[in-house]
Amino acid sequence: MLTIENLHVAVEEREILKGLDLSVNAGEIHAIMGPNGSGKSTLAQVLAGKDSYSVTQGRVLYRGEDLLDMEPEERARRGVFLAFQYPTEIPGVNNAYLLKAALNARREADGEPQVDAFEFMRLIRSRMELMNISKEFLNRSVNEGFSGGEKKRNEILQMLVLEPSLAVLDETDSGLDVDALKIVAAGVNSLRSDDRAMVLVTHYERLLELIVPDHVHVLSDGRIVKSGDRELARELDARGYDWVQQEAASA
Amino acid sequence: MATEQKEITDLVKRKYEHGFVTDIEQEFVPPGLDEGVIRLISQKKGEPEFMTEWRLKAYRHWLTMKEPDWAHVRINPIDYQAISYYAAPKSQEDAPKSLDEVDPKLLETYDKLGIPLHERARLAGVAVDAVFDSVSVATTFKEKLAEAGVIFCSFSDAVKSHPELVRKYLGSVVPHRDNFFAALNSAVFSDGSFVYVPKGVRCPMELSTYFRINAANTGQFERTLIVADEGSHVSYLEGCTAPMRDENQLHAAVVELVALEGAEIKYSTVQNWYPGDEQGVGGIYNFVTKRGECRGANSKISWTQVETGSAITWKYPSCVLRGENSVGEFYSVAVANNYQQADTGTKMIHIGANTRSTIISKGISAGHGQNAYRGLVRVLPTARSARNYTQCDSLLLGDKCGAHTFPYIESRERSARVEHEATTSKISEDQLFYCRQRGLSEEDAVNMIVNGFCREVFKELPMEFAVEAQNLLNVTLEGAVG
Amino acid sequence: MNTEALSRQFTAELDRLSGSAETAARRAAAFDAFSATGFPTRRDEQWRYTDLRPISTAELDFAPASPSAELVSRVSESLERSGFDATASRLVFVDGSYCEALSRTTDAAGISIASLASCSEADLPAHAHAPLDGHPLATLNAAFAREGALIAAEAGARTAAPIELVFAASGHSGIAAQPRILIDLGHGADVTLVQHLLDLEPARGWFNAVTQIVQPPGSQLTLYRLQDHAEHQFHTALTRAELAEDAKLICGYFDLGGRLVRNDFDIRLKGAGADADLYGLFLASSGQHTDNHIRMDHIAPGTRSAEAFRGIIGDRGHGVFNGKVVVHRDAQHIDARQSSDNLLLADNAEIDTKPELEIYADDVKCSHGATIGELDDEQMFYLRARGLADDEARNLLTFAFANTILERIALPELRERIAERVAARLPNDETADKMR
Repeated sequence: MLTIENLHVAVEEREILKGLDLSVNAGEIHAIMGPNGSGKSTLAQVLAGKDSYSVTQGRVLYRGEDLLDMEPEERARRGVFLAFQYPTEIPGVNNAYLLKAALNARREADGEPQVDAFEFMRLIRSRMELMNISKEFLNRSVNEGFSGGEKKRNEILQMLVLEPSLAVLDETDSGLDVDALKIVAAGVNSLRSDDRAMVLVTHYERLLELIVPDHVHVLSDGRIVKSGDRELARELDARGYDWVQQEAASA
Repeated sequence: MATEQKEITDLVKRKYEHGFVTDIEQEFVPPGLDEGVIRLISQKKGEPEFMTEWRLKAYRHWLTMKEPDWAHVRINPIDYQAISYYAAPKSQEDAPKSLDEVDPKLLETYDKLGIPLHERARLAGVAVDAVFDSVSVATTFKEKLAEAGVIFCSFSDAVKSHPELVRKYLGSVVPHRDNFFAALNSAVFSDGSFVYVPKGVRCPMELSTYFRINAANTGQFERTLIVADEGSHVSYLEGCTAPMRDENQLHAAVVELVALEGAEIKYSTVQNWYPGDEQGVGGIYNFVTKRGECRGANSKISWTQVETGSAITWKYPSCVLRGENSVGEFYSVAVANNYQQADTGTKMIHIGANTRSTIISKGISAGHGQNAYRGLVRVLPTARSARNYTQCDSLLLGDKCGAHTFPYIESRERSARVEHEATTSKISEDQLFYCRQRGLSEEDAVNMIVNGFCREVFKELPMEFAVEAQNLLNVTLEGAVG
Repeated sequence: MNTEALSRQFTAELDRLSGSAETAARRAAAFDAFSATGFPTRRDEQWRYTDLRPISTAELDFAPASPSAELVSRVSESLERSGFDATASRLVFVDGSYCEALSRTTDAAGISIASLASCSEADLPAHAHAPLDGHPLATLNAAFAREGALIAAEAGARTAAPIELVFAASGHSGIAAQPRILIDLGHGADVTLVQHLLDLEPARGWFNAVTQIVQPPGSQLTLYRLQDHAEHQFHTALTRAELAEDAKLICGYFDLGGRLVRNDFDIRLKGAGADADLYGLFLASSGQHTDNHIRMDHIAPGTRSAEAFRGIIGDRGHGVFNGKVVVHRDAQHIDARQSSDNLLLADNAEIDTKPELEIYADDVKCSHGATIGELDDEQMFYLRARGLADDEARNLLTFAFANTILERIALPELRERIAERVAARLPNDETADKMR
């Protein structure tokens, strides 16, 4: 599904990713963990195509095609979804309107017919229930005046509606209380399937108790320095990141 | 060459010096303006003496005035003696004979806006019988309005059939000496609309469709007067939502609104006159004086405007809040693309106690467009506990355009509260990226964000108008991004 | 004072003023430039809210006599009383004339402070003669200016303690002081300057100052000014600054007195990273008129400006704020903020505010806000519910409103000194007056 080879990324001439390799197969969930500033969010943004990052070396293949060559909307239409760490507010733009426009853009790319308002409502109703989102919520402006938890739930709602092939979740757990975390996890888990891959970028292990990953990677100073299974996440939670970084330094 | 020019001018002058008074059948007055021309206009329209005198008074005052130069616009000099002030009804000989002769670009725009086929020909000025099936529609409207006692007719008709109302209210909000263009309009106005809503009547329909059918060719010096008597209510929609074929360069309209006690007037405009081409050649000069007076207590006047057309727009729909507890509102979207220039805003004059006003202005600049908000909020010492809130936002699309904000805020009443906020920015990269990550093209994302930026204003428009306004905005900004 | 009378004074002055033929020619040119238009009137958009007739019709003397020994000692006492630090470097001017006895010009290495008349023409920085187009009163100053201060700092020099400039007026009516302050900084210099304006006795004179500032890359200038004139003084001042790359200018202006006060700022951000931070507090009551008029030009990309002015307007007071931010074409990445907040405390008071933006580049973040109102009812109620008397509560809230600006003064002693003066001169609330 996703192959990242020797990825180097810089922002304003400061190198943040320094040769990252990662391979994600369909049906897998990968967790990327690491201390602040290790480059986790940079990775997420680069996969979605944010242009303030420059890729200086390496390549990223998505279903065998050069992902870096695609415009952000092209990636989205082919099934790459980023759940933003800080979802942007867009004053005056109706939440439902954006979601419907996004869905129809995706469907158009897939050669499927457009959904009308009625079908759209039918389609999102159960998903809204799952995310504990009320109908009024749809009529508010995108992310404007949303609480932190509402923003994150809205991101997952969008993901559920758009049904991506590759979902990248950037710190979706940050700023959530236990109840909201459970709702978000339920949403993510409902989307687990053999033809879908997910990359969870997170700081804490608690999300991974609810969304159990197949692989856990530690990102430090722009590289993946250790990989393992969910036990690694638990160990990190207990011992912190220092030992991994020291291990990496001595190696 | 110069002498020849002078000779022609002289000849022209001589011609109408002799010709106009007797030759009432003449359909066209040569360019130029003097008292004779004004008498002629008045005579041709069969106006009573008081109207003729009113026009002449305005003309004499106009002669003493200078063109205003304070607006943030660059104007090519206007030769007022080169304009023909009476040309009714417009000759149809030069007009295109069918839609095949109309500029395809114009038709393309109609298509995008979803203008009904039978409307397109009229908007493009095609010389066909001006009446489609609309006469019957108009008649139905007229009957319904008459039942309610609402007077809605052309200004010319009103002067003849309701001279007492015209006499009482004409110039009572915008006096003939108000400003240069208002004075000119008062002297030479061609026609326009007149509305009177009697006491306690809620006008049974939006005065819109009717207007759209009949308002074409009201010409460049339009005059509108709306009087809402005590406790009445009226919503008036002006404009067309597609570019009008119009060769007049200078448009100097005057609109006067009078709201008596407890009355409410809602006035919505979608203005899309020809803005000139992409190089800034041609286009309409839209110099309009619009003012409403909340004369009675608890009255309300609300202006909503979407200004996407004209080469130069110079207009400040205003509210004089005289009655206690009266309310003034101004909602505006103004776009300046290519080489368009807009200097627009409002004046809210608080005189009565507990008067309230709200100003929401959204300016969009693109291409080489220059867009200025100019507004005045004045609170007089009599306006106890007056309130004003102003929000004034500018959006920049491109690095060659300009966005300007010139608010004047004057308060002389301690218990009044005035708040003004303004921001200027471009569409944020984050917003664009967010939308594109959800699969929207850059253009769609920009349109969506721009429409969102304008939503507070669009929601004030009647539903079907709002949709057209949105489409219009997208068409106007086509090619402005990317 | 009609143009003729002014012209007679100028001719007389020109003979007496020192300087080369070139200087005399410059003065004459400046006077001609002023005479061509005369005093601006309210028809001029820049003077829409400020009527200069009280100044233009006053009998004024542009050649005041040097202060007497008695006057000097009175000024000295007054300074002591006001708690001025006697050890600080300072220049003292009385009725526009330099007063050596009260001044102290020793200072840290690399910084020189001198009275302008004591400098030779060759010592003056180039910008001393920069044209002042569009500022008629400053142009008049250019014709008459004979005294003032030159503050020069070498590259990297810093002032350990602020330099003080004191302008005292004797109380003799009709004196037209036309001082000029030149500030010339080297690369990376960091200078703090405090200007005090005070009157020994109420006098109806005119203080018309021009401050010219040139800031090279990386320099920082902090300029505080306490305008504490008595109630009849006319005060007009232009502060003009040009900032190169990464230069920072901070101005904190406090206008408490004067009958007719007009402060013009003309700031040009010419190098990337230049940053101007202007804030001010003004009080106007009992017929006072105070106008802050700012033009901020963002000429280079990546520049930042902030303006925050607060006015407290009492009985028969008239406050004006006019701030204009201009972002020039291709000056991208601009951050400009403006705020004008005003308390209107009396029925016959007036505030006019006009925060303007003129923007010709797109990658900008510009905003302005303006508020006008009286004290907040809910805050008043809250304080009274906590047991404060009505007038106590009013005074507390009025001071709190001012304090937002006072808190920005970085020097604690100065902050206290200014805060004390502000508290002493806060306009009394009309309602509170009635209750007493």
